[in-house]
Amino acid sequence: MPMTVQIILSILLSLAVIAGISMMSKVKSAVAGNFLSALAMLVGVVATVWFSGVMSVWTIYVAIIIGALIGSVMAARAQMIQMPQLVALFNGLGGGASALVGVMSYMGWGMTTEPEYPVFVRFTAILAIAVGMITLVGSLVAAGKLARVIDGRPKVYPAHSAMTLCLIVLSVVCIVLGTVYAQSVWIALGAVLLTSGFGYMFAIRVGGADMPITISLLNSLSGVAGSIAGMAIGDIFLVAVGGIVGASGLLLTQIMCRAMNRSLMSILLGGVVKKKTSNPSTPNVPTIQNNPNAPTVFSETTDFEQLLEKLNDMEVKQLLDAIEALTKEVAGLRAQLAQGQTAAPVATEKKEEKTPASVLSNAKDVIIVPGYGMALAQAQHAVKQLADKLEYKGARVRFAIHPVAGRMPGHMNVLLAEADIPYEKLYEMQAINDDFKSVDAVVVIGANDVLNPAANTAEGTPIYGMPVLNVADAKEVIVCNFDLKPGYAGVENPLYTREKGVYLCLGDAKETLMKLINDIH
Amino acid sequence: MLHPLILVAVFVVCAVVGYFIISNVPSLLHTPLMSGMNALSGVTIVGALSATGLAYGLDGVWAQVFGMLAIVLAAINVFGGFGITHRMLRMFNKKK
Repeated sequence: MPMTVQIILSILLSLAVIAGISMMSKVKSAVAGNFLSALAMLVGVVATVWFSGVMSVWTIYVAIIIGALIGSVMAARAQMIQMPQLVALFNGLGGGASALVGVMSYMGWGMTTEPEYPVFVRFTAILAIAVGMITLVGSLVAAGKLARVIDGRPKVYPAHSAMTLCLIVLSVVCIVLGTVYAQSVWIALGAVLLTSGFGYMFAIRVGGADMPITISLLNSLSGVAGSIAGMAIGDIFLVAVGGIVGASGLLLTQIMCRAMNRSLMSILLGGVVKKKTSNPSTPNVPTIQNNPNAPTVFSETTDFEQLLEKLNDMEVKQLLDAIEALTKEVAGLRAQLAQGQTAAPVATEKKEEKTPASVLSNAKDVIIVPGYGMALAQAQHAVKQLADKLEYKGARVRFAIHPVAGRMPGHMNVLLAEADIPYEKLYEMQAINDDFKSVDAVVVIGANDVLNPAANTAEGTPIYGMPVLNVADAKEVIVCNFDLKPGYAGVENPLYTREKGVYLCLGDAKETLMKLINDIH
Repeated sequence: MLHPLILVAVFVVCAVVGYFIISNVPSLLHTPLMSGMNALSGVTIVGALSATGLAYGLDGVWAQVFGMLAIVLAAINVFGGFGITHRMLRMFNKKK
């Protein structure tokens, strides 16, 4: 009996998918796990075509070939830096496909006889449309924001919550109507439009820094959409795999939320939500308030902005040269004037003569903090060279990877792997955060939000409460950023105005790094 | 057709299993894992295939247009997703 065979095969394939996913969560077996998942899917597709007796229909082959060509070309051409938007886009298309299957099922296309459970089929079909369309539109908005086609900041329309609530209520009404009335084009169309509207409203409200979590959630949602579509057409394989992906996607989302110390609800409800509890595992980093020399307090934005502008205007090299010349002059004068006096102040002045290169030349223990800016400047290979040079000189070099460095969790690891940096040298935040205060130097390359001490103090900003890398604890910090503008989250970084032990090398990271590498002796 | 309760039960069981298989993923692998699961969510292609195939010659042009579109979208998801995941994972392992 083919039904039994089909069920047994579905169970086996689902087990293969489960094995594939769990293999993918370990580095050694990940490639094999991906293969296993793909193989299970291939067998599932062939079996479905066989069992539903549609082998002779030519249209499905044409469609598969078109889709396979487009997908393969996109996968082969994409740069690693575009990964987040690409995943979001693929994910949206999958959701769209589920929605279309829902439409077909709701319209009764492909059904030779009346279904045995018409209410169940109608309900799941219209629900598949709803979840699928939310996934499609939400993912497209997310991809647009990540690719900077749409403005990345959270956008809140007037009466945003009320409108969203209205769309949810109308969508539910539509689902109920669709469950009662069969094959109404208007109901199907209404469901498509209303849920698209909801998907748009909820995704447009999420800010740039929270986008990774949104994508992960949408990823989970597209699995659920597939599973519901599977219920509508009675395909057990589809139900099973969709359920697995939906649940594990949700778990991955939670893991990411935990890393950012945000609750899923606060992200979805948009923008800035205050969260009082600070993570006890992250010690308080010294902030601007602890630094009496700092010219401004964080809240006085006008002064701060002025200062940043000034810093932006000046060439840092010139600044450093001027300081060097000045200190030499002062030291010379002192020596001339008072030879009998104590030489105590000289020690501090000597310190100011340090340049980024001299700091690194003497460093024996270095942590490199890469960020998305490194990827934008295509500076991965320069970073690798820097690490090699320091190691050649006998220094210990480690990389500190914030859980959300880059544009999605783990993105930075992929970018560094592309530059042949072995993953044993990449340390997760918890593993390395206590070491910042003891290392000789920290090199920040194109990172901002993930080390912004304001995350601990600036209440009401998008990053408040997010655990950050304790770069501010380090004695010597070399910052190779393009400029001093706030990062993706839009919050100023008080570290840049710290007076001692911070060296700014502004400009294209590839160039500043190459200069730094040449200057290290 | 299978009884709805069986389908719902399958969904629940798979969701519970799915929730426990990835408890301990190093953040190193978050991006490839997300991308791989994204490819798996393209499994909806089997639904698109059978629905389109069954509707052929039965429900006119619109059914085929919708069905083919569904297959194309799902196929992009599947092929693109697995392809890009493989590319990423290979980079982690190219040393050894």
